[in-house]
Amino acid sequence: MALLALSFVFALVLLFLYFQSKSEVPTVSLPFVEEKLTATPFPSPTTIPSGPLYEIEADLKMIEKDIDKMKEDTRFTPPEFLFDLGLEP
Amino acid sequence: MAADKTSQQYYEDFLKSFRQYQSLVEPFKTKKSQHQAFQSVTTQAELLGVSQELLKAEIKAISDYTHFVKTYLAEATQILNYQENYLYVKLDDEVTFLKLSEQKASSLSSLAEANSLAKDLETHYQRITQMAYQTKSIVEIASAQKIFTNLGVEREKLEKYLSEQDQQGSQFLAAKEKLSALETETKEIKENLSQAESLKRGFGSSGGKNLAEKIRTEIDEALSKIKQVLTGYQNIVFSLK
Repeated sequence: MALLALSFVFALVLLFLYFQSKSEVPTVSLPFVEEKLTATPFPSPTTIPSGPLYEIEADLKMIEKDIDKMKEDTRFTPPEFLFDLGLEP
Repeated sequence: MAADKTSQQYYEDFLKSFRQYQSLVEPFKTKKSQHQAFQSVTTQAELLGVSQELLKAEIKAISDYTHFVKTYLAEATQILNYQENYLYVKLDDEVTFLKLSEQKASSLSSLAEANSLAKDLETHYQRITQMAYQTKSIVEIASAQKIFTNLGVEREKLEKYLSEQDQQGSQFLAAKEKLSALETETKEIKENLSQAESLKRGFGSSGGKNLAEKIRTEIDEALSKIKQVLTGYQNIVFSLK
């Protein structure tokens, strides 16, 4: 009887060891070296070209915008009111 | 504080007060018809009441519209360095008249008084609308002139750039020729602006609406030519870069 109990405990230990070895995740080494980002992933801003021609170009763009803003302002159209009340006694 | 409002805020106030005024026109007409039909003391009292409400709303809407015009002129004066301020003073006089009219409307005691106040308002409203058209034209002319002046500065810069370059390649020679050819449009723009300026002098003696329309036509022509010249300058810059 004692032998039976001992062999049962032994079987349990074996089972425990078996499942523990199965649950271990295999480690796979990455095929490349991970690089730590030291800067933002975006390209650096384009260098703004300077010089008289670029200045003129920028000014002309501003003038173009000013022209576009000059659409007729309809807010000035005077509204109609009733002035002839026709209340003569 | 009311003085801190922008012209756009005044315009929004005006839209609100004008809608309020419009909502009172039909009730006034109904009470007027009832009074014409029955001629009773009750209908007369009711008609006086609705006339009073209508006039108060009318004064409020005209006042908001006048404030809008006045503030717009003040804003443009700051930006465009418009020097004359007589129009501003005249608009101020109308604001004062409207304040007094508001008091009169609140203390109306007869239909005849209501009628008389409405007629007074009509005369002043005609002046206000003339000044509104005048303001619109003044700002349009001054803005177009400013744009044209700014374009002139760019022309000078281009001329300077071209004169400073040692290169005498075909691209440079063509650029110089194009710049010179654009001078024709420049002269035409000057004519349009000068025509608009002389039309502006007619305000006060003739119809504001017609005059404002004629001025706008000149301004539109000037702007269209300014755009052509601007495109020409852009083309020169692009070819030289």
